[in-house]
Amino acid sequence: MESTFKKENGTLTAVISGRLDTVTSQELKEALDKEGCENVDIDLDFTDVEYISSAGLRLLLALQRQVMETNNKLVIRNINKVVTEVFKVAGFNKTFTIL
Amino acid sequence: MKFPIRRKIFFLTAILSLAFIVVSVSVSSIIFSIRSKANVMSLCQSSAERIASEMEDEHGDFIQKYKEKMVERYNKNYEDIEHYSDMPVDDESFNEIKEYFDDLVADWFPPKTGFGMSYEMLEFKNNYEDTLRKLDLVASSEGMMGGFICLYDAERNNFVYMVDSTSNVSYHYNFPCSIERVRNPELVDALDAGMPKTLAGREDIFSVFPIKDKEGNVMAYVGFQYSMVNLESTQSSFILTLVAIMIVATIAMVIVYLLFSDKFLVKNIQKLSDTAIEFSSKLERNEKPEVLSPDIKTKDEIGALSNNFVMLQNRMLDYINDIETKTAQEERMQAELSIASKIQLESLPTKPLVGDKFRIRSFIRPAKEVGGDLFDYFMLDENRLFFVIADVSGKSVPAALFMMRGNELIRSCAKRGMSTEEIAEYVNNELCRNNKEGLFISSFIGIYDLNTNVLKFTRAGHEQPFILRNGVADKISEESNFVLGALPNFRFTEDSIVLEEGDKILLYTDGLNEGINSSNEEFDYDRIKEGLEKGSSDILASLFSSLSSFTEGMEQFDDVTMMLLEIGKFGRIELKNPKYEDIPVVTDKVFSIIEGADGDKKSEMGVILDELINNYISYAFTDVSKPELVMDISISGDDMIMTFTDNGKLFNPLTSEAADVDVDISERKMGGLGIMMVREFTQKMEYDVIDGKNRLTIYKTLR
Repeated sequence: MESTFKKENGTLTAVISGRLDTVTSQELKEALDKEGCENVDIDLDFTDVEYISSAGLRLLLALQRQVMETNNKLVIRNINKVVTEVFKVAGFNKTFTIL
Repeated sequence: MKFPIRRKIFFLTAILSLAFIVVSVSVSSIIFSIRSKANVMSLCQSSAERIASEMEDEHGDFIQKYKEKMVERYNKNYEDIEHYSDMPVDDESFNEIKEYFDDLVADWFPPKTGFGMSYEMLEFKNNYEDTLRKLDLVASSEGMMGGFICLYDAERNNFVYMVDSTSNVSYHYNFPCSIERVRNPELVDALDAGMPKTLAGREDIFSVFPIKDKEGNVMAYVGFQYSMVNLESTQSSFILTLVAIMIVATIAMVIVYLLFSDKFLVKNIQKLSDTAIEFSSKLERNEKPEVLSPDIKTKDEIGALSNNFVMLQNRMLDYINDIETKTAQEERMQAELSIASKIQLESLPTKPLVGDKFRIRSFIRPAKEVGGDLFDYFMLDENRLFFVIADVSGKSVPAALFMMRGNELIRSCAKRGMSTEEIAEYVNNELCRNNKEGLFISSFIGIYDLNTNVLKFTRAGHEQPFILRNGVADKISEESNFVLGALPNFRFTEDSIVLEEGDKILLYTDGLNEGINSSNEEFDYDRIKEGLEKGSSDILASLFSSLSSFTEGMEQFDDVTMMLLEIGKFGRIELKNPKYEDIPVVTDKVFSIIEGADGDKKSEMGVILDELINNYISYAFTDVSKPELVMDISISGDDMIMTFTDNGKLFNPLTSEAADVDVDISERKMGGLGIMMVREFTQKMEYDVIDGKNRLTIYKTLR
């Protein structure tokens, strides 16, 4: 998993690539914390994410709760077929903003 | 009741004693009544005879004189005498009668006091009183009513009383000169003849004896009377006494008998019984067994029984010791055998051997006894797989030792690069040397070349393997060589077959096809064929379970050994103490095994692996000291079967509750979501327990 971050106008944009599994979700969480993801809108670019497991979903859930508390927004962009499928199974397509 | 034998003895004794009392009392009372009547009659008679003789000797003159006076009065006053004698006696008449008779004899009967009496009168008085005393003495001492002296008037058949010892205040008293009629004809005849007579009447027993003067003429009679009432009362008092004595004696006897039987019979039997109970309960409690003596000192049958019982205990303890010794020996032998069996099994490969293009694995279920089955497989070099399956004739330790010898020979020959026929030839000749036991080995030796896909093999008297190709199972290797170890210098020939991807070769020993069911039918080749064609992710386990249900209730007689060579894409990953960091490594390995799969399918596989391995680490292995997770992959065409075998706590993930995805996001728990993902991305999932381990099998298409 690789991730690059850009912060401007109150929005944290993260471009993520590779697998979002048990190990990498933890890494991503640490990276997001380091970048400072509180009181900002979060824009996640999933174009190059191969797949996401439930560990990754847990991270997304935590982020979603966090932005909802501060009335910010979380957007996930460009999910592939497998990630879409995972989101569907977990019911994420109903609660997340997926572009 | 605690001691019923006591009660029985008591009742039996009591009933017998009662019967004895009744019988003996009735018999003795009958005998007594007969005897006593006769006794009394003879008593009366002898008393009369004795007194008559005394009267003759001592009072002859007195009687003579008295008789003369009496006869004179009697003749002169007969009518009055008759009148008063016949008068019924009661309280009123008694004095009148007494007065009459006293007056009648008053002039010559002396007054009560001897004052102023003449000598003659005094002599009469003395004689009279003497006579009376003698009669009274005899009568009272013999229990008679009384004795008397009387005359007999043969003309009128009358007794005329002279002296009567019956008390003169009694109504039975006969006053001197009173009369009594003699009515009994027998008595009359006797009296007429001057003979003695004894009679037993209804009311009394009566005996008279004549008193004679010096010339032999009858002067008077002495008589004695015995009351029947008296006799009967004596008799009944005798019987009462007898009964009392007998009851007392019988009770005493019964008590003595009971005490005796109690001491020598009941108590001893109780002792025997107690000892037997104690002995057997000691045996039951597994206490140190010892011989218990019942403490019976009598030398009767019970004593003999007691001695026999002690003997029996001795025998039993000897027997128990024998059995214990034998059992210990057997246990030791059994332990040695199981060690031998373990050593034998340890020399065989335990894990599947998995290459890129093949997988070979085995299944062995040894019989109770050490058997002689063997199998082995290993890589000769990068491209050549060597395998052998064999069965030694016979069983137990000799077979196992022969097998180990054969195994070592085959292995070393194979490692020297020999072909299968060369191996067979060499091993055959080696085994033939010094084979005094006459053991032999049937075997199938194969070498599979991964580059050419050619399997070369030599079958030496072994069961024909099956090949499963395109869902159809058939036997291969029609012609066989001879078994190893029987014929020296036998020329073995090698055969070959080209294998294709998806082929499965099943090798087995006769423990499989010769498995017997309760109807004595063999499992046989058809069922093996059927089992293979049925298809399963674990053919060996499925075949053995078919065999087990076929031979249900029968003891497994022979080792069941199977070996399966599968051609295709395989992979095996073993994780010891798995950590989260292992997940990417495993994922990369699996991706390389399923290289060529669609990208999406690979990603799905990535999700599956992450979910499952995460689950194992987070939940299944939390309390396991040496966690181990083994993953086996087999790919045939577009389809992949992957098994996850773990030694964590037994848990069937397929029955776990699905996560509720419709709950509001803030309340959502993630548990169960992982398994939902796995379910979503697989065609089929199966769970079973194999050798005490969880096994999850997933089926996934790769395109």
